[in-house]
Amino acid sequence: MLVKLATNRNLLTCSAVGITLLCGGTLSAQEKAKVETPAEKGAVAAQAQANEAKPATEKKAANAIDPRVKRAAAQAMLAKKVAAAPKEDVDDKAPELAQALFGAAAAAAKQEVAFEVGGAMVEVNDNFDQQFRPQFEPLMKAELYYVRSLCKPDNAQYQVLKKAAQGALDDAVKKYSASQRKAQQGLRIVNGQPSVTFPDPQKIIADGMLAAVRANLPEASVAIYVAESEKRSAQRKQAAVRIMVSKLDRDVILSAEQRTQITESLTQNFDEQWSAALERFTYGDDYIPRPPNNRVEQFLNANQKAAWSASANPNQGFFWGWAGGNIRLGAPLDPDALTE
Amino acid sequence: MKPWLLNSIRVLVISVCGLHIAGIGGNCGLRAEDEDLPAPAAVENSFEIHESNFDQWVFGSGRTTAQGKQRIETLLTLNIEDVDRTCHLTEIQKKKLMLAGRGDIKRYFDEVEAVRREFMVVRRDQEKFNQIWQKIQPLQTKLQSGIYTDDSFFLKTVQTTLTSEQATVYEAAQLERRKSRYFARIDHFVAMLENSLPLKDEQRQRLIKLLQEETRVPRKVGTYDFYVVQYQLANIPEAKLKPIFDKQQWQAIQQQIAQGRGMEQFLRTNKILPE
Repeated sequence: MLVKLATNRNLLTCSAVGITLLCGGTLSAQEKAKVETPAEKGAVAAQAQANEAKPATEKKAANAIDPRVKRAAAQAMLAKKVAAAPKEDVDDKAPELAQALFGAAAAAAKQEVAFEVGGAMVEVNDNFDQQFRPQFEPLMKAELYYVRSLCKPDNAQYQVLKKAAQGALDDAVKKYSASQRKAQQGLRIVNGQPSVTFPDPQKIIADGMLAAVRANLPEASVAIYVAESEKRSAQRKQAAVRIMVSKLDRDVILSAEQRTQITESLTQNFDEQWSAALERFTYGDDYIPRPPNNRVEQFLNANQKAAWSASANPNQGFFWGWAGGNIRLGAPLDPDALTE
Repeated sequence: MKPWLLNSIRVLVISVCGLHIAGIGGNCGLRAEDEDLPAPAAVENSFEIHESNFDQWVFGSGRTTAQGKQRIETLLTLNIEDVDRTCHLTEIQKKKLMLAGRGDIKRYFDEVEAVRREFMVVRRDQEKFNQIWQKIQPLQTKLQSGIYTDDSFFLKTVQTTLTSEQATVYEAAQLERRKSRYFARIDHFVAMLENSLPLKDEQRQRLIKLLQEETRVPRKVGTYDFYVVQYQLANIPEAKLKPIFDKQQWQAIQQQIAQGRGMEQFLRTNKILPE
């Protein structure tokens, strides 16, 4: 019987990759070897993730002990106790032991915990929900406001849409968390692209709302919402392409003609991931996605190609978590307070 | 959140946590403060920033000094090519620009090495280390904005070396470049604004047009362009801005205006604002 605390292992993967990438630092074998115990591993990893999840203002207190660090340590110690228990005790009491672990650690902290009990993985809610829900909720409120202001539903229709908006938020949190979890299990940067892609929470919520609008509002309202949403998407797409070309221009000094050519090339071969990354563009050049070579190189001269190649940053485009949480511009409009 | 603070804290916190991962940090280590928690193993209590971090902060994640230098040298060649493309330089003009650019490279790396020396002294001193960041950040910003702009030898030489006809063409091309970069940031800013304040397309187009027409293109384009847009939005006359929004939107945008005004000191201190 194996009772495994996946949290520490997964979070360590997350931090070793994420932090090394983000700070650009490299850990020597000797330095890595200093992180020995599961408690230490889980704790430092949880601290790193906690810091990343916190608003930047709170990061001043980076040196403070985060409760999640303590909880991770507690989990590790409990897992150790279980592992040290006689095999027959563990087999006989697996459900109880698992429950004890849930109760002591998971229920308190809602950390990511997966236990293998009798060959089946048992999962509980993870901390991603706590991390992403407050970040995505303003997007949901803004979208609901948008729908209400554009489509002018009556009160009964609005209540249905409101419920649908909550569902869309749940969906966004769930899908984004799934990507985050995948990334923690092993994320690599291949040709400047992360091996795990992250969905656009704004798009998930908008898609959810569109489905609700289609199901509950008259065709004329649907048409208005669809038309406006498409124009908004087009603007996000244009913003992403222009920012990417700007970055390229700084890297290889393009001519006006080249800027136009590459803008057209990227627009025609647009990758939805680019506009999903808009929120992190504010953090600096390293967080702007690098366009694929085959959309760029054909327009560059020899020196520019060399500079383009040299400008490749193995860590470019990677951001741990959702960047929009830190740069959201103001509180969302309150859809409930919308007046004519 | 102030942009410089956000970026600085982010890099520093992450880096410091990186140290703790490496087992050389002290304060992020575990302590049993709650009675119900088991006491984890003690972590060595010393502060040290690895020297390789300096290069990564200045030249970008994953880069060394040598790579940074090579990149800057290549950019000099590309900048000269760019002037040549629009102005058709003579060989003497090219040589003058090359010489001036090399002067900029030397000056920049002299600054880098001076700050590096200070960094090496304080990298084990947590209190003093916090201060060194104030010196590292301008090096990073300068690199991202381009070292051949502003008060560079290169730009001064361009101005004194080109004929008046060449200078006119060059200025127009540079303005066009800066405009394309700045307009990209306007698009980006509006997209981000819509995360909390969604606009109808008609409103969006009016706002973008107003920002393009009523704000100035900065001389220097770089990391803080986003905040330059926000600052300039705050300075658009109310009579022009207000008609775009409905009542609730207008109330909500007051927050942007206040934030934008709050940026002024930082943007001025760092000579980021348009002249």
